[in-house]
Amino acid sequence: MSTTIVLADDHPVVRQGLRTMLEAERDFAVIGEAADGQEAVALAIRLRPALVIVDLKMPKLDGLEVCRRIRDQLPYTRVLVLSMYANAAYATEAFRRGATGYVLKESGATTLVEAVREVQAGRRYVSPPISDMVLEAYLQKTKSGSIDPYDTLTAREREILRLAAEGRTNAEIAAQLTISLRTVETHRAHLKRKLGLRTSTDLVRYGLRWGIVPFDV
Amino acid sequence: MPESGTGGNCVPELGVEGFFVAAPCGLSMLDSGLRYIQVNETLAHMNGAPISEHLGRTIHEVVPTFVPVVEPIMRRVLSTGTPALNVEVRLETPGHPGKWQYRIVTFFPLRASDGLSCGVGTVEVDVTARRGIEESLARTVTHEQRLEKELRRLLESTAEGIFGLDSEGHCTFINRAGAAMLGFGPPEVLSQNMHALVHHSRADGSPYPVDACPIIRALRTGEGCRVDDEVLWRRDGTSFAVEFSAHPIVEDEEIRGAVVTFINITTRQRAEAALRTLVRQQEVVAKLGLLALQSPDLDALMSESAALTRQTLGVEYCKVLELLPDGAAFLLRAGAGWKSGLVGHAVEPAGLESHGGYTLSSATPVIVDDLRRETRFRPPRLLTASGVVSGVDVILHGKEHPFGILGVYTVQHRAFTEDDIHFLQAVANVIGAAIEHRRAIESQQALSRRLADVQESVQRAIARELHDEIGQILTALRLVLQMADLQQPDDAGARLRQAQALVTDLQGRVRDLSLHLRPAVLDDLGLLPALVLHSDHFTAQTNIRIALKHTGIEARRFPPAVETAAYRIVQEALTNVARHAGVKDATVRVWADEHVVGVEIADAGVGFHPRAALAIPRSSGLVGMRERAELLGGRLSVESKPGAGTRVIAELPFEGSVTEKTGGS
Repeated sequence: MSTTIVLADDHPVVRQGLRTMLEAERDFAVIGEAADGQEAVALAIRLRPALVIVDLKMPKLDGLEVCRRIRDQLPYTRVLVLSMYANAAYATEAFRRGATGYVLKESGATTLVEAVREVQAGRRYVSPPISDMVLEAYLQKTKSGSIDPYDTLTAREREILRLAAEGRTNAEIAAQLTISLRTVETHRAHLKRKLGLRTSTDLVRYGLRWGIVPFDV
Repeated sequence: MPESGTGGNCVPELGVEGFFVAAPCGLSMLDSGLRYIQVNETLAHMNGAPISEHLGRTIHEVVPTFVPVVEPIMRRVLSTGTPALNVEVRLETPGHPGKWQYRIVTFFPLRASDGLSCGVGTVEVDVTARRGIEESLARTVTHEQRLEKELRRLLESTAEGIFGLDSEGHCTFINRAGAAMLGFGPPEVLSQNMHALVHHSRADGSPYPVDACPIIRALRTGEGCRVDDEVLWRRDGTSFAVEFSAHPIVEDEEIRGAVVTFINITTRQRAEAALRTLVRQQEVVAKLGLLALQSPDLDALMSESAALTRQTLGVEYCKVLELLPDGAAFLLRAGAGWKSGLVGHAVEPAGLESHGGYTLSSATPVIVDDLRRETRFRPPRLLTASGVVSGVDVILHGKEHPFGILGVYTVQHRAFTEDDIHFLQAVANVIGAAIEHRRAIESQQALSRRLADVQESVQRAIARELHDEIGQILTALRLVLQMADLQQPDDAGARLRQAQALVTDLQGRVRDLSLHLRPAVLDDLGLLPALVLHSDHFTAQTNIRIALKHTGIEARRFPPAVETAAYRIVQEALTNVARHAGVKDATVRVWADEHVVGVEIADAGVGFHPRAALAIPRSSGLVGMRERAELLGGRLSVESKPGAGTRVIAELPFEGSVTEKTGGS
């Protein structure tokens, strides 16, 4: 039994090249070609192929969206994304949207055929230079960490925090730093927002807690 | 009375009786026990009882109210035999308690034949009516006195000065307020010639001829006058502005004198003068405001402002100081009154080395009362060399940093008023607004220029890349394919593999070029993936490790302009790190809440002087980065010191909903 395939790419020459490479394998059958994302989804729904090979960049509907729609509507059809981006970001996004394989357009026929076979067998495939390790590293980097709000303060804001925590009024701070009262008020509002503080007492407490003001002041 | 006494007379008996009865004054005879022996009708009437009720009764019984007064007199007359003449007595009218009766009574002794007193006779006249007239007369006099006293009090308590003149112009009276205003005691003024005393000279000190004096004219012509532009002279030789009116006193068609009222209007005149000054100052501010709107020439505006300010405040010098970029000194950018060659060249130090520096640091107008006794700052040469004594400096505010100082100076002592300072600040604000406006235009022009430059350099880079790199590869590719065509079929395979290698190279170049122009990942996947990829790419190219820390941006999309700005700022700042910092590590922090995306790029490298770097456009991307942030209503701060690393912090506000990425669902 052959593996039925629909090809989607907006360049006829590329489709032609892909078809040539795929049909060199006896058990692969290209049963349809689409020139944009919408056509690809419609064709897949009509033909119910085992596999859709989509270009990441296509008019009307891009490859990532095609992945999502096919996953949602055709649970037995797998998607292999062809991409010119050799990076983990697109690959991760493609897998997140339901693709099973991610192959670079610059890869040769051997890689493509290997990818089709892996995907067809239900295994995730990513072509070099991307690897599972690269994907894992990318995932780690995109994971939210915590940032100490103090690190987000500008030097001016830190200065004003220190003075405000000592209990100085805005007018006193303005005089000491030779800036306008309005500027002090703006800075103060910014730093309270960044630190998640509401009142001036909160400021003093923050200053004491983090050692910005010594106790004996 | 003994029969014999009367019988021996030639006067008919009836005649004596008749005299007694008819006398219009009261007559009575009393024995030594003060019993009435005889009374006439008039006395009976005065005593309020018929004659019959008198006879044989004592005074105690008939007129008890009479007793305390008359009994002692009667007893004395009896014992001494001497009469008491015209004694005025007062008694309560018999039968009318509470009502007083006044009588003039003459008491005389009645003598028996032995010559001894045996009784008292009285002649009594009722003077009650006359007495009433006298009393009411006395009361009238008192009333007139009171009225006069009241009038005097009125004159004395009014704040206006009032004096009276006789027809010769001599003072007949002066009230206390008037005398006090003139510095005299009232007695010193009385009967003095008032024109000679207090009205002898005009305001400018020139003599005031009597003939020209409106008061004297009032005395002579009988026509009143009111004057409000003259002065009166005090005893101590000083004068004060006065408003007075003089009105003649006419009696029996003859001018008897004049009354003059006057008030000191110095305060009023001062207030009016202040008001006029204020109006003039407002006109000047309005005029400068218009000039600022119409003329793009800042230097012309500053010069005109200095000239008009100098003229309006009546000072010798006016200066416009521009704070130089390094913050250490001011340039005398414009001015009025200075020696030629100073404007545009003279430099005043900032900080506590000058009036301007002190004003900037104290953030309020600073008044110098006497420069020679100034202790707050060191008087700069510009002022000491110009003989300055008093002055005021106000700040020329800018949107972020003050532009400099506007100041005025006098060579004589002067106390500047609050209005003066408000005026000066208003002029400063007009100049400040014009400078800001000018800067906005300039920065817009600079931005346009820079955009054009950037576009040009990008196009140049693309052209070079296309020609030098991609063009070369394509040439090589064509050569390889030609050779494959021309050569032996055995060699074709090798040539085609060469061609494939060239195509792969070409693909890489095109990809890099496209990534450099605009990373598609930023549009397709958002800020975080773009930053992760960029930092990987950056590390691969520069060997500088990047610690990327972020919170609140995972799986979130922000408005495209905000994502672009954040990405470009990080990219540009990292480029600077690679070029200048000389480090192996850098930190990128990115955070976002509901309103703001913030980025911080920090390194511990060589650092630099931010003010200097920001002042030179094109030297680094700092200006462009700041513009990106400010175009979005955000801000960018650069913190660096030579040797102490660099922090660039940008905060980019955004509005509207933030879309959560749907991809993860």
